Amino acid sequence: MMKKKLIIGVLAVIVGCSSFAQIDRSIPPTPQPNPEININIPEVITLENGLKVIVVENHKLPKVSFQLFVDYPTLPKGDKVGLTGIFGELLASGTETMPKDEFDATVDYMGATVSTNSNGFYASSLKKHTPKLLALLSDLVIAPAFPKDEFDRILKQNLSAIASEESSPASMASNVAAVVNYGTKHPYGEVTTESTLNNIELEDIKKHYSKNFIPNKAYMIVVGDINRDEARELISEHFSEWKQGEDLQQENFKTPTTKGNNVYFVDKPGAVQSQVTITHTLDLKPGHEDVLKLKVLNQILGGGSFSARLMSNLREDKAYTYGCYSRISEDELYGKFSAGGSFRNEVTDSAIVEILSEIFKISSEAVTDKELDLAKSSMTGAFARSLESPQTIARFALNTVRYDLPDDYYANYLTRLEKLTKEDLLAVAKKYLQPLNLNIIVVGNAEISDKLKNFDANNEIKVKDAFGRDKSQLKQAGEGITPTSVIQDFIYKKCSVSSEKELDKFMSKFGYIEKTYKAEMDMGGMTAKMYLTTYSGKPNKSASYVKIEAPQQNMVAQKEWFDGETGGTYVMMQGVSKYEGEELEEKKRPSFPDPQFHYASNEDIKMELLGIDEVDGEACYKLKITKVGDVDFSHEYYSVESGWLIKQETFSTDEEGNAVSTTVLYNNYQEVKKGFMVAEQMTLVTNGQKIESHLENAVMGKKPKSDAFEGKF
Amino acid sequence: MNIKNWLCAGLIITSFNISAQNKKKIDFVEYDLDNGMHVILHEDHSTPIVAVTVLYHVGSKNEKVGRTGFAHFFEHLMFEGTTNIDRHTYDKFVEKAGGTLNANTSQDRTFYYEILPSNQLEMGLWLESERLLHATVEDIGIETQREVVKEEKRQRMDNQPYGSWMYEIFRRVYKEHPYRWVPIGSMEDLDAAQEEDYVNFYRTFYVPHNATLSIAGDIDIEQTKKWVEAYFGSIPNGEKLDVYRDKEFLSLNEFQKKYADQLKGRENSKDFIGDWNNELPTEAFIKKYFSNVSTKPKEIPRPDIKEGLLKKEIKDTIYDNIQLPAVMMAYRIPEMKHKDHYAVEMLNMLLSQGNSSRFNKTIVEESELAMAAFAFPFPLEDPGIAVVFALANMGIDVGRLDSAMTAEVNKIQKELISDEELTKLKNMIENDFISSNSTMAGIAETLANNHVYMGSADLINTEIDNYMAVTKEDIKRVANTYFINSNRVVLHYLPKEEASN
Repeated sequence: MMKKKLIIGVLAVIVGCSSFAQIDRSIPPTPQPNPEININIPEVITLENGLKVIVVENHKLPKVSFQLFVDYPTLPKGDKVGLTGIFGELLASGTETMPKDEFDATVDYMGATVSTNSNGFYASSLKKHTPKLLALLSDLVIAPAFPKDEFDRILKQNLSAIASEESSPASMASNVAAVVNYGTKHPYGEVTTESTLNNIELEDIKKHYSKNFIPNKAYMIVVGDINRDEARELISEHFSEWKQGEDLQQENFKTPTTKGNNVYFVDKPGAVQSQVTITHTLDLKPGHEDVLKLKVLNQILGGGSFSARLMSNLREDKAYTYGCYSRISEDELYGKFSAGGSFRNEVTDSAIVEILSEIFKISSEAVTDKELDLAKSSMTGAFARSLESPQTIARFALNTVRYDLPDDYYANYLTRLEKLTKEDLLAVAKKYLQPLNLNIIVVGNAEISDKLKNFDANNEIKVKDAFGRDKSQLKQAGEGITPTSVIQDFIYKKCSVSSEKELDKFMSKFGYIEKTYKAEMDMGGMTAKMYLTTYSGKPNKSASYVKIEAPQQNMVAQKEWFDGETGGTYVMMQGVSKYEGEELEEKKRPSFPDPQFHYASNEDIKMELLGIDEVDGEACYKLKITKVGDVDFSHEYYSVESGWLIKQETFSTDEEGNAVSTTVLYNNYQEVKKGFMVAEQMTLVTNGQKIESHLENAVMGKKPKSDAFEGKF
Repeated sequence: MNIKNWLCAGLIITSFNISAQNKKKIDFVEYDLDNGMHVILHEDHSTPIVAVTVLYHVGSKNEKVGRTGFAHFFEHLMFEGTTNIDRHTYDKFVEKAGGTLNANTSQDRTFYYEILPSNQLEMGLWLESERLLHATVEDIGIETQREVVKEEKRQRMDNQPYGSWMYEIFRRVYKEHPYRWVPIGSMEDLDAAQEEDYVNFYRTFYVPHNATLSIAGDIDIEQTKKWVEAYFGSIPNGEKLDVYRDKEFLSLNEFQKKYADQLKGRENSKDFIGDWNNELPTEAFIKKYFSNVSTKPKEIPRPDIKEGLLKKEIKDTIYDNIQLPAVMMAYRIPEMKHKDHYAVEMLNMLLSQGNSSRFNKTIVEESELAMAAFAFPFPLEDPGIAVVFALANMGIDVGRLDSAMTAEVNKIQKELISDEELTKLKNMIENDFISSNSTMAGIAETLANNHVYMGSADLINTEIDNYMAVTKEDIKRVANTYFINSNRVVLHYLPKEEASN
């Protein structure tokens, strides 16, 4: 066993007596002499079957933990991504001699914990249960059950988990980062999706196990109230029957190189913040002499402290975020750099500007002496604190053997840290960081996406879905298509005319329309009928009436009326309110027979043609309709082929500031009279509910007359 | 009695004996300073580090309506600086010393800590004593931290799936008690904070007798006591502390005005103005002009609202930006100090701790209704809640999941749990109890919590006896007292907007 003793060499200050009761508060106290740090990296014991055992003795608590780590190669899984994860979960499903329920009960009865993962397990218990726990663990490794019903269950759970990734900004960002950083051919660029999970079969899991789960690739790390010989005996007793397998070698994979900055955007409707990840890959293997230099560099740029540049700039100075960090990770295959955080929508672009400029600055100018000193003392302290956990020593021992590090790699850590200069840092920053070739990934609200274009070398945004796949962007509408032309086509079609002249003629004989839609809803086993009647009269008269017929009672849910001068609304449980002020002025504008007839003449309405989108497979012109001075807006989808309005989405905000959206789908336009066309089917989607209604009745007339406009229904 | 029962009985006895043997006592000393501050010290030389912590007995339950979120906001401001520590340097002292620092705010307390190399203990004491004596809060800091806190709320609550759960549960479980709002508070209230709010909050709650200093690690008790006395014992309390802070934060003019009645003209004397302008140290200044001012600690206001159990089940649906529906149930449970606390906790363990737990076996594995299901108590100083939560598997109706969860809870009301299950729970507790307290920061925090909430820091050594005393009947009884439908809030989380196709 090697033994190394060292002293934290930084700032060994000899301090005078400071135990007086009188103190001068205006000066910070000086530290006592540095404490001694002991690091005992244990030697590795190799059993006959190749299993390597690392024992870290720590007799503070009567507990022992066992960690198995099988270091098999990381390979692409192709159309079966997610396989290793499923394997890791399924491993805990009992053994050939002990079904899962009994296994779980036995573990819990000891108050022990056993959790498995794709590379092995972590288990711990009080010392008195150690022999029994090891017997269970050895069965789990040598003769796992892999029951079919558990496989099916775990697969199903993973499918559910995959679905939930679509609401987690962090998962979405990490999926996209994986794909764009490493490419889909690299094992790190593979993303688990519903279809890759569905391709996995139990047989695949068993094959994976027998090929990869072998003692000659495995480490058993024992930590706790146990001595070395005792541990060696116990492990060889329980794991010597684990059979060796064919040696496995890690392959190398190509990673794409990023040219210029690339912006990737994932739409998360309703997001109040954007998750920003700015990243690129770098070739940095564990144990390389640049690793420590880059760790110090990262500590200054965006390590965990409040005084790191990103945190101090974006949080403490600008208040753009709760936290902004960066990370540089070494890896056997290929490492990466990433920086980012969550930022409120309004400042997302400003936050990106700041992060980019910090990355640029740190790779072009040397850090200050003060920053370097601070980083060194902070990292020295963190190193010392990490030794409180015996698992740290275990990790050091594992890394030493796994990556073939020099024996004194960790013992010399503080000395190597102390020797680093700011020139060293600038040199590695220049060598590794790519401030002009970054992947900029933003998960957020679509409203901010336009502002991101400037960050892309080609001024374009690549839209991705939650799993990093390209999302079809809106296609450009054809030459000559404008919002006005789309609306005009729709109006002509509604009135079955083909020119302005014909439309004028049609409208001169048309002054009133009344429509009733009927919906049937299931209300806890009973069927309720809902009737929605709308009235519209020339030029600006309108009314609506919603009636619900339930088996027990009928009720009027809502009323609206406007006679051209005055009007109001009635909502069930809320009562009547009269139109006043702006709302009243708004009502006075022409509205007959449908709002679209007046978009062009209303200077307060802004129409924007966003492009061609699909609605249930049908190509549609997507229009954004906004009213001046109003934050609410709507999207209208007009079929490219037929010209009909088939979908309308309205986006508004409720009193608590939450985004609320309502969708109406229109289908099956039919003639009412004299060529005037109305959708026979209207479907309302809101709050996760879908209400489908059908046209029950429609009346047209020449004169705009109805009691409804006066509020009499 | 059959053989299995004999075996169980035998195991119960052995586990009792062994737990008594294995208990490694956490030794500590505790005492009060003259100003009322409570001090707890634990010495352990296994790693050369020390955790310096201060617990202020103030949380969101001490906030006023219209100022929700203030205690947590204030915590952020407490890193801004002090009379002797410039803005943006508080954390740098710690970092430079090789340490780490942070804080958190709950319904009941605000907790600050530094973990330092043990030779930097004095640094931790200086920093914390500065925070207590004369923290400075400038407008620029207020404006910045206000936005930072809002970002924290967006990140943790608004933009996170199910992130609003605490807010949605607590506002329904409580009608009167300030637990009805959550520590993060509301954005409007954060905007509404006025200067006097900061002053009053600091003076009311950041006073020695509302603070517990708990230190654990590689320390020498006697030396530590001396330093504690020097840094914290020198902090006045009562009126004297107010005058001290006014002397440092008010302008001469403001000070003269405020204390005109007391100083009776002396405040305009050449001598007084001279001392002020020549920056006579505050301590000496007070001695000279306020020799008779009281140091008696002022009473700290605490909410005394008592809300009994709920009388009628409250059911609601929350639409959120989520993919998988979830069911969440919250039962009102007694305050942390109540004797039923231990049985309540064990009931929750029975439901969801370990793979053999009832929820995992029935709801997750057998019926496959849930992707995951948890039960955990959320004990608070005043009566708290126990939460039962399950995430539905894809395509599972929340109504079915709800019934399955309720059925498991009901089963505990009707049938005693088995001897084997009780032993399992006790073995788990033994394991958890021995495993806890493995870090210095954890020990310092537990000692402080136990002192403040439970009235005895020594529970760190003895609390396991309270669990071991719980019987099967106790668990059934608390199930029938607290885990009944009329005493709960049930929330169904549903995806906000189903895609239109």
